[in-house]
Amino acid sequence: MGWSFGVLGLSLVLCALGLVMNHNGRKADRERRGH
Amino acid sequence: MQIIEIEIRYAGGFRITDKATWNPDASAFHVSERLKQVIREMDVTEAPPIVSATVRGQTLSVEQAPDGDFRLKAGQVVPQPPEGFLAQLGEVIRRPTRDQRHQFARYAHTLSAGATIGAFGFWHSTTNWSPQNILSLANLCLASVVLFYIGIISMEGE
Repeated sequence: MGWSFGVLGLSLVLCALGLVMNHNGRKADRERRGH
Repeated sequence: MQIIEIEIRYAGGFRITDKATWNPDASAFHVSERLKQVIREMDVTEAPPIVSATVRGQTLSVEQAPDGDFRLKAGQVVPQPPEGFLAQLGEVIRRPTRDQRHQFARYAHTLSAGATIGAFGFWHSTTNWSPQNILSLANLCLASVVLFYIGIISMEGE
């Protein structure tokens, strides 16, 4: 059972990383476009 | 001095792409006299354009100086390319490009598919449905949904 919590934990970590990258990336895109 | 690409976009849809000379010491972008004349002509009938310059792979917003050349907007600097593994990794998180976000989305979707397949395999191979096994299956299903969701969010783009 422990391994499945490990999988879930890793998924949540990747989810947080993805959300941060998405937020920063959109902001960087807007800056690159000069808006 | 460096030759860079400059792009001028007008509200009416007209777009000019040309080369310019970048002087890093003066933060100035020197354009041809021909381009200055075109801009002067366009200014008569068009709204002020948005001008951007691509330097070191980064597209920056610039503004026109009184002499017709362009310069960086106040407070803007040309970012130095990151050097070293950690600096590059930090740059990927701080300023990821659209392609990098899409690549992350594909990776998340691959892991989501792996979790789904794992959940089906676990389901078919389990004969004793104890609370621990049910929880393991639920965790795999949840991981699959979470990874799919973040993959879709990252793939969206603009």
